[in-house]
Amino acid sequence: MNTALLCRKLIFTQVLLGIVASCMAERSPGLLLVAGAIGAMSWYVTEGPRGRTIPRWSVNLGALLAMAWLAGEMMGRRVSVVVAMGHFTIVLQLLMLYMRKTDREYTQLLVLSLLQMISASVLSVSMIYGIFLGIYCVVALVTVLLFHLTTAADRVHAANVKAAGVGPRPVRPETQGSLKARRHLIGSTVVFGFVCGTIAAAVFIVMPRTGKSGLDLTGPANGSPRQAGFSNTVQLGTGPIGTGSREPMLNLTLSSHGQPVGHPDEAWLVRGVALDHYNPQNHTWSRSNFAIAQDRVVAVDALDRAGAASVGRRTGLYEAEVALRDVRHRAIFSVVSVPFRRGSSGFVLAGFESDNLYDVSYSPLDQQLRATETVIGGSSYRLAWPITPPRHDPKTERKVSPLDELMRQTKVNPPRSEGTSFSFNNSSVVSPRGEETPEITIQTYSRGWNVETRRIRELAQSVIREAGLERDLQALHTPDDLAIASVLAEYLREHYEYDLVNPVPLRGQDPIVTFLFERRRGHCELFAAGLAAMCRSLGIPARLATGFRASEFNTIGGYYVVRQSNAHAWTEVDGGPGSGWVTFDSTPTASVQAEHRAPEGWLSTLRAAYEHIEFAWIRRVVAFDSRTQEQFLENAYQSIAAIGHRAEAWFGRVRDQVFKLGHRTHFGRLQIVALSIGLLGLGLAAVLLTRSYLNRRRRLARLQLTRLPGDRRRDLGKRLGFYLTMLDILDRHGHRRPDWQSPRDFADQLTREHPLRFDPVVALTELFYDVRFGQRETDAADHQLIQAHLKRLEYTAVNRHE
Amino acid sequence: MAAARESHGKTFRSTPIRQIIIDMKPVRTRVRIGSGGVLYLIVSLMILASAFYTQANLLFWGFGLTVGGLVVSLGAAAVALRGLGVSRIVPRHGAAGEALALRYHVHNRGWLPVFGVVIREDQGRRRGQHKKAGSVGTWGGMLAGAPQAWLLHLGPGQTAQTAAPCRPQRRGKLRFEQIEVSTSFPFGVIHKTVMFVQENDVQVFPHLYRARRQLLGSLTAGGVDSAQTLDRGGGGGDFFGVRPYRPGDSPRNIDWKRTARTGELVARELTMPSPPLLNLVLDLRETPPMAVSGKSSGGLSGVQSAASGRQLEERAISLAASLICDAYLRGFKVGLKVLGLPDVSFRAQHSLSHRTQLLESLADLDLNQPRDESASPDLRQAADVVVWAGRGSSLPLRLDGTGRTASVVGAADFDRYVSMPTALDKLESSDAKWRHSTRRPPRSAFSGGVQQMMEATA
Repeated sequence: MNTALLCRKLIFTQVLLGIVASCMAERSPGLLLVAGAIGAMSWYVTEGPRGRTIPRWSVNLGALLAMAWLAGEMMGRRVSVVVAMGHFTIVLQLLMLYMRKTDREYTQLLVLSLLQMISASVLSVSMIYGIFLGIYCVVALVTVLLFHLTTAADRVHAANVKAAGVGPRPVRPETQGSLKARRHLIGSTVVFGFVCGTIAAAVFIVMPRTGKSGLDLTGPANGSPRQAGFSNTVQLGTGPIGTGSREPMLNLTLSSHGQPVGHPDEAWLVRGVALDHYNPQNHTWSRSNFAIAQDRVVAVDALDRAGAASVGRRTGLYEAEVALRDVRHRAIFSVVSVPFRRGSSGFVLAGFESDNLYDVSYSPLDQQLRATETVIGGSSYRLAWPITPPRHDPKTERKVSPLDELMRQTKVNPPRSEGTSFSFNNSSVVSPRGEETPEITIQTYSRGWNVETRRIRELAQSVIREAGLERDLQALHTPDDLAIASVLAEYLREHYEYDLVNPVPLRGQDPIVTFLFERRRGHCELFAAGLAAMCRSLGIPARLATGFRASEFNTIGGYYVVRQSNAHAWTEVDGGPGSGWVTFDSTPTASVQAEHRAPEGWLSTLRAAYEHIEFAWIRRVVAFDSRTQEQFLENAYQSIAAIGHRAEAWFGRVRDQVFKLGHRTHFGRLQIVALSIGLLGLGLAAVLLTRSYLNRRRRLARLQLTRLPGDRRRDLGKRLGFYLTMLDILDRHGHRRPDWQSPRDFADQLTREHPLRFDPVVALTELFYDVRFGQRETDAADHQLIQAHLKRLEYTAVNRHE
Repeated sequence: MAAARESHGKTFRSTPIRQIIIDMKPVRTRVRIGSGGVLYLIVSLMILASAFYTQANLLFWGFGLTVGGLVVSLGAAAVALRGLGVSRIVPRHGAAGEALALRYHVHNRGWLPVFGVVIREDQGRRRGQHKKAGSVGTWGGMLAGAPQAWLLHLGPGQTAQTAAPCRPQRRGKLRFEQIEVSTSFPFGVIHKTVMFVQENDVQVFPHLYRARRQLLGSLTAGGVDSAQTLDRGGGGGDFFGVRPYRPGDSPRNIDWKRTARTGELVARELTMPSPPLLNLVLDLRETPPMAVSGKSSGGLSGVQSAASGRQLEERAISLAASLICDAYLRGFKVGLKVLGLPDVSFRAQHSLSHRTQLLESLADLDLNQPRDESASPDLRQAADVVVWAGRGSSLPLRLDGTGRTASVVGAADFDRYVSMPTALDKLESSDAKWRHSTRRPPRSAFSGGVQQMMEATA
């Protein structure tokens, strides 16, 4: 075991592991490919046969360029400081891998690698990254141990060189460890790792959490995966859309009255954003400024209190726990039932609880929840909503959620300035700035349609007319509004085809018009927009809702797995007083189900198992919050108390048994204590004897005496101990005899290397053969000779260059 | 090893080395933040700050690992070096500029292995003085730094030997007082040091150089082959005379013919061989001026112009020591007299112990002592070779009042007498260019022999 060489290899491995883990955390395969290849090549270039390094000035120049790149990324591309620092450290490490390295450079590499893992740990919640982190920690532990030993030897060598003055340079301290040293080092590493891991677990559990992060990772290039399905705006007519990856977005656990709710055949809609404004210029649905102005920032505690215990008492509550897998955005998803033919009731928030969020913005107008701060990956929150629709308020003739009273008492937020806006309209596609939107009031909210209005209205009227329905275009609400919406949704489901091709609209034509009258096929957003357009053309308030369709139920964990490919859009229609906003899904159900169907087979089962483990990792480790902490500590305290009680009871029983035994055997307490001590001593002696026996067996095995008769074996084992001592000395100094090599061959090999230095080995080997096979008895003179040879061997082994 | 060792003023004779080590008790134990400790703490605090700022749970885990590392370091420091015994083994003599075999026997009687053990010589830190600033000794300028040895691993119950490279730079008495054993395993965070007291003195001879091959022959009147026979009986091979037999005479020496003729036992007496003689006088009565002027030869001109009087005197002592060693190897009986300094006068003899005595006396010369310039004439008249700090003479010096001549060897013409010219001021300078040079500096012909000699005379 050459610690210096091993240390260099381990540092190289650790740096590469850090780079790979960082690229994984950023989900950047391109960076992984480039940085990994450059880093891996560095070993061949610097440590290979030619061993070339780049000069220091070029490394310094590269570091300056990397700093410029860092500044450019942070200021130009507005990349988060964490991601930018990750890139910066990767570049620095790659540069340093190619330069000539002393202990100082190796120390810098280790610190840089550690910094990189810190930044990567902020970015990633993946269990694969967690596994990488674990491997990294193990490698880092061994590396630091060996690096410390190597640097200590180097420091000693440097001091000796300095002290030597003129003359030949002193011999470098020997970093070649023996087999025993390796064993002891491995044992120490295991013990240190176990202790460190245990203490780390304890610190992890008891460290207080505030739950409030100071980082904003919502930028466009901050390592979060691009989302093919869900977004805060919907832009139509942009050509084909992908199905999105099958990467899990979130896990949804549903329960009602404390019982789990969920089934592989039952789907739910995970509602993200309600979009009430359509811009015909860029064909984009977005949230109107009027809706944004209704947002109120509410403390999570207030929402929780207002969650409505009263509603729960009256109607019962659905509860959902949403565990986000990764940092995405500030949207908070709610849950609604999948609508059937007549639609399903819209979402009405009754309670909200989270350990990761202090406050959220909530709009009773569109039941829109949104985080006011970035939530670091792996956050979770819990929602509650009534099972049955809320009561009807006859005074206001509006459906009232339990939070509405709270909202009325809450100060309305002023319209947000552009710079600080965190509204959903802040995407680069649609900006509220400078956009001329019609003035919206509560009466005109989600009403009106100005794109091919007459044509769409005629289509809608013809459809409802066939169903025997009519609608007054001027009426705000009519009792048939929901029936009309239902007919129109049914019409789209039956006469239009679901397709992900998303054809580009005809030149100068609106995509919705192209969908309704020309192509008659499209994806879910076109279906939802078409239904909203037809409803609005008839005077019925309608809006788009985007989110996910949760249909993949993980039976192992009892929760729904929502993936990016499950992104979906649907329509919400206002049914008027007494009904409220009702959810309609005009997309052909069978097509959507086929599209979202989870693959079957053992691979999918395996994947489900992996995702369950990863979910547990996220919930127990990544999303470990103060609530979980309290629960864990409470459970731990109770467990310890229970163990204490059990131990007390057990000792009491043992004491009683001992006293009973004393009564039965007429022993006094003193005798019993003496007996116990005697038994303990016997046990200890047995352990020591066993250890001694095992040691003796090992020595006999090394001397290959195990097949001899017992007395001969013991006798030779004692007399040949000097040979094992000699082997130990040689082993300490890097000369280990392989098992296949005979003692004579070993001695010959050593003397060929250095005839004078290993003279004692030859003498001791000859004595070994004499004793082992020549029946030679050793006397006091032999013992003195053996001691002299061993001392000389130790001396020559230490002063190996003399 | 049954050699006599001194420790705590106690002399161990015929004591096994392991017993000596076991008897060694550390006098002081010290625990402090190690060299990597500050960096470790900074990184730990950085992880903690990042964890609180980002609330990323993995960073809390990482901080826990660093806390674990700190606890492990404290625990390791608590148990490390317990039961460790160290014994220094040094020869009695060394030579300036030569490697000194400084070895340590280390025994671990604890039940845990120790790793990364640094053994360092420490001087000037006696008990209660370790807090004094700048108390690190410099061994009187004889060493450029503290010799250090290193052990990668020492298992429980194991004894190992390690060596510290040590190269004295000047002649004199080198005193080793304390052994500092330290480790900062596992992470370099905590540095634990234990101190052992073991005092050893090493007599460091002057620099020994290879004298030119013909030098000794040219300096002495008879040359190196000038072995003579004395006019008296001895153990030689030539016939000297006969005398009556004395009890104790070898029967082989009986002259049987003469015995038969005279009727009394008569023994033959053989001549006594006499080895060549070298009476060396080291004249240190006056110190030459700071710079030596005059002719210079070759590459030593720069050195000569820079050589101070003290350096020339040191050269003269080195020249004398080199001549003594050369003469001893060639079978000369060597006598030594030092003029200017008191009590240094040895009759000519030829033995290893005599040579060692001469070198010891040269090593002990204190040039700071007041000089006695009134040397008696007979001292000068008994000289075959006079070594002094000035210029040498190519012609023999005729001594006053007698017909004898003496050769004068001058330290200023150093390169005339040694086969490899050496810049002594560079040797004495702590900032020598040789240190990082790939050129090997000149070594004396006794480089190997000095080690053996030191072992033999220990």
